[in-house]
Amino acid sequence: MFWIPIALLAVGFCSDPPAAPIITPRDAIAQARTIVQNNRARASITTIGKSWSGQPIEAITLSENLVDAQKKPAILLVSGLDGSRPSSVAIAVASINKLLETPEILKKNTFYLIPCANPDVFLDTFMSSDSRANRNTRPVDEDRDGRIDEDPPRDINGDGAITMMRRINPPANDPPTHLADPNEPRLLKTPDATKNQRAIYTLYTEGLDSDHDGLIAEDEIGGVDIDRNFPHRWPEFDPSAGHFQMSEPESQALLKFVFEHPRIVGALVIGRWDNLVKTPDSKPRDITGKTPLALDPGDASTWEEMGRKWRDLSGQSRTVDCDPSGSFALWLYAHRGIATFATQAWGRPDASPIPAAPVDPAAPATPTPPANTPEKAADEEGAGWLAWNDRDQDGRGFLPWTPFNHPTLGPVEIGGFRAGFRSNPPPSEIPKLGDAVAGFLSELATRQPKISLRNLKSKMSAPGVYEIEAEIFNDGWLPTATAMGRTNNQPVPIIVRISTPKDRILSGQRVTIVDGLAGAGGQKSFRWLVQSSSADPNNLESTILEVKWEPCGTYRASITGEKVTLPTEVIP
Amino acid sequence: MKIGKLFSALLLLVIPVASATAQQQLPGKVNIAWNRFYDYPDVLKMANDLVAAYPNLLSLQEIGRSSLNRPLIVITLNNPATGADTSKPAMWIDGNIHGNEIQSTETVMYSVDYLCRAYGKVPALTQLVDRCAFYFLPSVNPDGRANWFNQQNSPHSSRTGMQPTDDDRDGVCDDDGPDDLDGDGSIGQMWRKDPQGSHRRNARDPRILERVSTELRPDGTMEYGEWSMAGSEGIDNDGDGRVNEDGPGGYDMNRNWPADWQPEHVQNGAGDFPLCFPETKAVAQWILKHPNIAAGQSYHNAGGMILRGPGANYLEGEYVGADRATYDSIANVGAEMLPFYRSMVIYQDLYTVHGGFVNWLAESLGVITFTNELWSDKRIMQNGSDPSPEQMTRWRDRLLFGQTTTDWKELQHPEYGTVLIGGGNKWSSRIPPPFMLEEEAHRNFAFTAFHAEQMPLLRFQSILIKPMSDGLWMITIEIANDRRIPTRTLRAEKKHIGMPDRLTVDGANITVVSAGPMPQRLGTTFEPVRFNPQELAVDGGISGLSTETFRFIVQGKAGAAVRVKYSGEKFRDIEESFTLSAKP
Repeated sequence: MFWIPIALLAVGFCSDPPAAPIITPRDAIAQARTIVQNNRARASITTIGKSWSGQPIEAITLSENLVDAQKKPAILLVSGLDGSRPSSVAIAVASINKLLETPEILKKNTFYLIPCANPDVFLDTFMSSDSRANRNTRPVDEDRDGRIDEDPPRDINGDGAITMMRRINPPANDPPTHLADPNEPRLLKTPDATKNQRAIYTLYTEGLDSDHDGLIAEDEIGGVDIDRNFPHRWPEFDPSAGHFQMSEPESQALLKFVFEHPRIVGALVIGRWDNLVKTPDSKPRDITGKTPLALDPGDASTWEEMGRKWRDLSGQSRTVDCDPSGSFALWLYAHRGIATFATQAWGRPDASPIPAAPVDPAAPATPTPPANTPEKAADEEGAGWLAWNDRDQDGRGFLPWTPFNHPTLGPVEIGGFRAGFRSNPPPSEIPKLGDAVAGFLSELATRQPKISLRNLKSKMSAPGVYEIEAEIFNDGWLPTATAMGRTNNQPVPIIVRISTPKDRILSGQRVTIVDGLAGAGGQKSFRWLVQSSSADPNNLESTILEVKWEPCGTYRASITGEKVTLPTEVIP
Repeated sequence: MKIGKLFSALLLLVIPVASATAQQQLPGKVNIAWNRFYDYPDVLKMANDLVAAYPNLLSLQEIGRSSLNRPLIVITLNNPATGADTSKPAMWIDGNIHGNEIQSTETVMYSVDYLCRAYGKVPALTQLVDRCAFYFLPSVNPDGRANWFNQQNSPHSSRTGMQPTDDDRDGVCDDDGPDDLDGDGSIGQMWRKDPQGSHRRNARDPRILERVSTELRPDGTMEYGEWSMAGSEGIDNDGDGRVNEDGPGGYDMNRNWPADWQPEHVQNGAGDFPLCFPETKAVAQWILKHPNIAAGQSYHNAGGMILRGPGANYLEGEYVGADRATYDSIANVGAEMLPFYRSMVIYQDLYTVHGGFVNWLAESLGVITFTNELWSDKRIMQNGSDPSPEQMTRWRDRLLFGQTTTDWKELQHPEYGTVLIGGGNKWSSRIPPPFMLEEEAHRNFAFTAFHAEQMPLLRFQSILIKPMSDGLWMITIEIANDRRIPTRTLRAEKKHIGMPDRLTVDGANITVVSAGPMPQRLGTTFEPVRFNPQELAVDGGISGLSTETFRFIVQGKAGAAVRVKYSGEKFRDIEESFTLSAKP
C-alpha cells in the first residue's frame, strides 16, 4: 500500500499561484488541439503511439499544404520527455501559433511537433521529485525484493511537496556526509577539513521505508526512462534504462516516426540535455575510442553557431550539466545523422539586485571601512537560485528545513527546493520561450541543407570521347548529415548516378555514394570520361545525370554530346 | 504351457531392463539419419515428429517468425513428473544464427533426439533430464539456412538474415549478389587471367592454384603467374562497376544483441538498433521470460573452438575470479572431449565482437555461456595439424571422391575477361563430411550435457539447532552447491542482474530475531542483517562446488515447527522442515 498526497495531485510542480496560471501538459495538449482545429488547412494532429499506460502520443504537422507535407524537408520538435520539465510541453505548444505566422517557411518546409513524447511522466502521481521523474509506468522492481513500486518518494510532512530529508547526527552505520553551509545555512555542503568542518547530516529523498528494508524511497512508481532507452551509448544496468534499447512503447513510437519521415533535416529537443547554451566538448570519446561522447569535432562549429542563435533568441545563459547517454536527441544526432539540438529551454535567471540602503544626506561623509566581502556559499548555483527565489519569487521555491520525527530515521529536517522550481520557468515566461523555440525552428528551416547540381559541362576530348564534369553543392548552412552521422554510415547518402552504360564509362563511377556534404558550402566534384553512343555526333543518345538526396528530392540533367540541359528538380 | 507362459511373462519383465544395459546403441522412436544435413522444412518436421514421439518429455512452441515468415521454434525438454521446467535450472542451446553454419542445427536436433532416446535407459542422462530443463532453438536464422540450401552459395555466404538491405546504399536493396556462372549450384572462386598474376596452377595438380615467389629470380627479374584473385563468382548485376557488393541481406544477427552493442561505424553488421530484427527480438523476449536459464550454448562453425566472452578487450575485467574459474573448468573439459578443439576467448583469439549473443547471455544476464565453433579442418589429419593445400586436395579426392570440388572452367566474364571459375563448392569447408557429422554432433552434445550437469544443485549440508536461554534457538544452516556453476555469477551480483537468492526461515509459532551469513564456516560469529532477517537476500548466491553458512536466531518453544527454504532463479529450490529441539 502506498498513498499519494492529495495536495500533490492538485499542486503539481509549484504551489502558490503566481500571476499567470500554470499550463499543465494536459492543458497544453488541449490548447494544441484547439489550434489545430482552427487551422485545419495547415495543421493536423495524429496519434503516433501509446505510452506504457496507454496515453496517446501525438504528433502535430504544420505545412502550407498538408497533402504535400511528407514531400518537403522537415524540422522536428520533441518535448515532454522529462518529467521534471512539464513546462516543456507548454513551451512547444506556445511555438505553434508563431510558426503558423510564417507562411513563407511553411511553403517550403514541414514542421513536426511531438510536444508530449513521454505522457506517463505527467500523470499526476509522477509530479513528484526532481531527480526521479522521467520514467514511464512500466512496473520496475528497483530494489529487487520481489515487490514492485512499493517504496516511492512521498510527502511525509504534508507540506504539499516532496523535497529532501536531512538526518541529524545519524548513527555510525549511516555516516554523515554534509553540513549546513555556514555562509548560507539553507544549503548543504561537504565538509572542508582544512576549515575544521564536520559533517552532521545524511541526505535522503523525502519518504518512508514502506517495505522495511532499511532503504528510504528506493522503489518508486514506474518505470523506464524513455530518454535513457535509446541505443546510442545506452547506459546498461541503470535500472531506469530498460531491459534493452528501444524496449519501451514510447521510444518505439519515436523511432518509428523518425524512420517513417526520412525528410527530417533538423531537430530541436526540449528536455534535460542542453547542447546549445554550452557547446559540448567534442574531444572526449567513449570506451571504444571511436565515438565522441556528445559531439563530433566535425560538428562543433555548427553547434557553436546555433548555440549563439539560441542564446540570442531565448536570452538563456545558464544550463545544468547532464549526461545524454541513451537520450533521444543523442540518438537522432549520432545514428540518424540529423542535426539535432537540445535545450533545457530556460536556465537560472539573475536575481534582482538588493535594493541599496537609502543614503542619509545629513550623515557625515565619513568613509565607511571596507566591509568584509561575505564568503560565497559552496553551492554557488544553489545560492543563485535562492537569491532569485528570495528577491523575485516571494520565496515560493524553497521550503525551509523543518523538524520532523521520522518513523525509522528518528529526528530529521525536511526541506529544500520544490520539485520543478529550478527546471520550469514562471508561467509568464512561456509565451516568450514559445517564440524563441519557433524562432529557432524557423532558423533551422532557413538554414536547412539543400543540394544543387552545378557547373555541368561536357566537352569532346577526342572524337567519340566526352569529358563530363559536374559539382554538387550544399547550398544550405546545415550539413546534409552530421559529421557523426557520416562516420556512422547511418543517414541516407546522396546518390549520384550517370545513365551511360558501364562499358562506355572509361573513367569515373556510374553510381557514387556521397555520405554527406558539410554545411555552408560543402561540395564535391565529379568527372567522367565516356565514350559516345555513336560515332555520328548528330546521332547521340542523351545521358542522364541524376543526383538524389531523399530529404530534398532528385535533380536530373541531360547531356547530349557537348550540349547540357539545366538540372531540373523531379518532384517525387 | 504353464512354464512357457511364465517364461514369457518373465521375459516381458526382464527384457526391457536387460536391453537398457546390454545395448550401447539406443533405439529411438523416430528414425533419424545423423549422417546428413536437413533443410529447414525437414528440421521442422523432425521437431514435430520428435515431439509427437516423446510427448512426456518434449513440447514445442513457436516463439516468433523470421523476416520471411518462417516459424522460429523452441523445443522444451522437461520431465513434468519432476516439476515444471521453470522450477528447474535450464540450459539454452541454439544454433545457426549464421545461415551458412548449418551443422549447428543438426547438432541441436541430435541433442534433442539423443536425450529422448537415452531417457529411462541411461542413468546419467535420465538423472540429468529429471533434474534440469533444456530449451533448444534449432535455427535462429531459418531464412539464411533456407537460402543456403536452396540458392547458389559458398561455404561462407548466406550468413546474414534475409531482410532486404541496401549494402551499397544506392537506394536499391540486394541488387548485386553473387552469381553461379559455371552452373555447378555453388558460388565458387574466380581467378582473372593476368600476365602479371600472383598465382599459377600447380604443375602436378592444376586444380591447385599456388602463389608464385615474390623473391627476384637469380637473373634479377620478377616471377609472375598467370592468374590473380577476383573474389567470389559473380558479375556486376546493378551496373555500378562493382561486383557482388549488395547480395541478399547484408547484416549479422550475432552483432545485434543488447550487450555492448555498438553502431555500424564500430561494429559492422550491427543493424539499425539492438534487436531490430524479428529473429533476435523474438529470442530475446523469450529468454528474458526464462530467468531459470543457468547455462547457454550457441553453436556456430567453424574452427574447433570453445569460445567464451568477452567480445571486446575492455570487458576482460568482467570475467574474473570465480566466474573465470567456472568458465575455465568447463571449457577445459570440453577441450578434452572434442578432438583439436581449444578453449578460447572471443576478443583475444578470434576477433572483437560487439553485441554478440553469448556476450548478452553471459554479460547482461549472468549466464555461463559458450559458443562452440563446430568442425575444424584439423580433423581430417591424423595428428591434428593444419592440412596443406595438397593434403586437403588428397583428402577431397580420396575420402570424398571429389564431391566437394568443381573443376576449374575458363569462362568469359563481362567485367574481367577470361576467368577461371570453380574450386570448392558450398559443401567443401566449414562443415564436416556427412560420415563425420554424427561424431561431431555427439561429441558436442556430450559437452553440453556436461555443461548442463554443472548447473547448480543445492542441498542442505547441515542444519544445526542449538538451544539458548529464554526460548531462543540458534540455527546454523550450511548450504552446499555440488556443481561447478554458482547460483549467481559474480557478474550477476556486481551488476544487480536478476533477483538475489533468498533464504527464509519461518513457522507459525516462531519469530526470527536475527540472521545473517557466517563469513567463516567454522567461525563463532555471524553478520546479522539489519532488516528482514526472516528473509535473507543472498545476492552472491552459493558459489560452485562450495558451501555457504548462515545463522538464524529464532524465538519459539521447543517443538515449534520451522521451515527453511532456499530459493532463487537458477536452481531448484530446497526446503526442509523440522521442529525446535535440543537433539540434532
